[in-house]
Amino acid sequence: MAELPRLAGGTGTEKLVSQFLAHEKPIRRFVRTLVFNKDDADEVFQAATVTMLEKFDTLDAEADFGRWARRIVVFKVLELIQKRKRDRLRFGSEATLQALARDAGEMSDSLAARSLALEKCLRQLLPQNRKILADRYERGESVEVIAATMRRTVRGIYQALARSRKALHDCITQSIDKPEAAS
Amino acid sequence: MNTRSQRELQNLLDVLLDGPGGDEEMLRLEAALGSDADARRHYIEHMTLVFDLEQEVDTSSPGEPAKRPEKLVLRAILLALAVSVLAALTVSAGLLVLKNEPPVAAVAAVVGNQAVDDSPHAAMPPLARLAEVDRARFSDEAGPVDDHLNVGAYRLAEGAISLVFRNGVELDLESPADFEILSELKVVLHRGRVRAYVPDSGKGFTVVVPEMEIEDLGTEFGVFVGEDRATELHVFSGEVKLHRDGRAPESFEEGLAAVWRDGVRHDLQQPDDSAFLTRSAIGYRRWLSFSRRLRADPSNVLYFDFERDPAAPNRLKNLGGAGPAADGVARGAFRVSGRWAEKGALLFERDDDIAEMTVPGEFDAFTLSTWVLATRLDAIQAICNTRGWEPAAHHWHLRRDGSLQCSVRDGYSLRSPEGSASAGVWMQLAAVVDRTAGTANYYVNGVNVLSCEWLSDSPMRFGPCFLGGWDASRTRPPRGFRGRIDELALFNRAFSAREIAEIHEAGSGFDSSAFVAARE
Repeated sequence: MAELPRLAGGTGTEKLVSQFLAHEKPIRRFVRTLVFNKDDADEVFQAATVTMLEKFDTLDAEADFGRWARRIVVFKVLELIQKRKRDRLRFGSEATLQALARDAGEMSDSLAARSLALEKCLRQLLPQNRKILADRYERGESVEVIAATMRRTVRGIYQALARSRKALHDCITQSIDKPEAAS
Repeated sequence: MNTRSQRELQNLLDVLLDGPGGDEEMLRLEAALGSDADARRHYIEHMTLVFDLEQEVDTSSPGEPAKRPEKLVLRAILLALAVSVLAALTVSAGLLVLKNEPPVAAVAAVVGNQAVDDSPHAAMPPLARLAEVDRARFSDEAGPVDDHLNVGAYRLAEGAISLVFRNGVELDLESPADFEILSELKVVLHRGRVRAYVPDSGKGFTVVVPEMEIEDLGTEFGVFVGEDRATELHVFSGEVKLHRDGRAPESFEEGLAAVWRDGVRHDLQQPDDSAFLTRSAIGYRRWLSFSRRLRADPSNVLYFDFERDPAAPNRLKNLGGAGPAADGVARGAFRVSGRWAEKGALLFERDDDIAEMTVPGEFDAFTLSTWVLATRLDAIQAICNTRGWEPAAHHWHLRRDGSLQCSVRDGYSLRSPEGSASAGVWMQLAAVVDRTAGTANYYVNGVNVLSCEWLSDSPMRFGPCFLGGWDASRTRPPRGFRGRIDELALFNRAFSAREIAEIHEAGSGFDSSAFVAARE
């Protein structure tokens, strides 16, 4: 009768859950940097998660879970590229993908710090711009629908999104360089 | 990466993330990332930001508790559950089962996004949302949840609403109305009056009425289904296609209107645009009803709506009930349209365009609220000031950097952050000054932009005041306001931040894209 391997610090299940809990957000973030299309990113994350479940018992107890998970993700992204060939809004070059994966892996800590700085920076935006960001990215509304709902032009919403993202990027960079800047 | 390359990369990202970017832009992005490590770094940082925004943007205002549900913990619990299921299956059926589809698919379904509905916004966006509401009441068993409408039957018992569908289709409905949403492309109207605005993204949108199906070909039209189930159709622009049982589709074009009763068509002379509310008109009604409540507030001492009065074109009638303040007078400034085409406003174009009024009495606290549209921000501009600069006088200016300069003589003189106000857009400005509490707060569009504590022994006085200018007769630089003012209200008590936000919300139901030329 097969059992999931027991590792130091608890059962295999507990270990997998605790590792997954600690790494889920960085893994999802990593997927998103490699996959431009959000639906594809969700699909890759799901496929990678299943593979992690299947292969977890092959992972050395001392191995770096994050690095292992990133390798699985890159593999799944390549599979997706193979499967779909060049659909819209996908990278097609394995070399670019591998370069992005390497850089994103190395930037992992600084990206986590950037995520933490977001909340304070968001509070510096006007409420209507925060709402546009939420409608667009969190709720997945199209720019056209946001424009119709808010009685603004499509161009106006597009510009508001671009400016807000730039303002957030600059604020986050500043707050990483000078931690007091965003407070 | 030089500045130009960075700008080009950012433009590519903008157009791919939110604009019409396609394969060509994707190839350029890929080429840039393949050859430039700095470009990759910028791209990774930016996609990290997009990822974080997709998780949750906190739209609460400063001071309110942030809303960030612990998604990851819940997902981990589900993962643990999935692993237990997997382990149980493995134990009971052996490893071969693990390789088969069902258990793996089951795990994927539990761990995947579709099943982990762990936030109120994790599901697909609703089919339609309430975009404007005026005193609406749905019957209990047939109303929207929050402001969301999905497939289902709805009964609007009172008031008027505007719905915007995911595809951009807008429906403006007046009560009483019974309707059913079948999809974002099909609505059944059993009874009621509706105006449909269908952009290109909603072509093919169909309204089903008792006599026929009205298929839109990109247009604006009004439909009325009466108690007798007769159907009236008015096409204001574009063209619709009529589908009736057993007949070939029939085109019905702009400028036509007809009634179908018992299957027989009776042509009307022309479409009646005024018979169908627009979203702006619903927003105007909502504001008007709120405005009447404001005027009736016992603390209201002065209220100008700036509506046209042909009998006395320069008089500003004080509609406030409680105070002794008299009517005002416009000098130079003249009546134009305001936030809504049907609403009046005062236009200030030259240095000596002003309005004058007198507010007698002393104030321990006051709230001053106004809606303004500044057409330029190239000099200091007076919004509403006492004529002189006596002790305890209040002055309120808009500066060229978009800050508000707010002062009480011998109390404080402060500026809000740069960019608090903008040119070319309607803004609600509010000043809430409370001598007894020792506080002063200033708001732009319901958001607090300046807050201070101050001390004063004597109550505040207004007396003779200027609106839209300050003492142009003096030799100092003029402070003429440039733009439109379409509402001004003064109260003898300090409004809360929530009350200020309510004034802003109630007055925001206008079509801001109507002022697009000035803004962009």
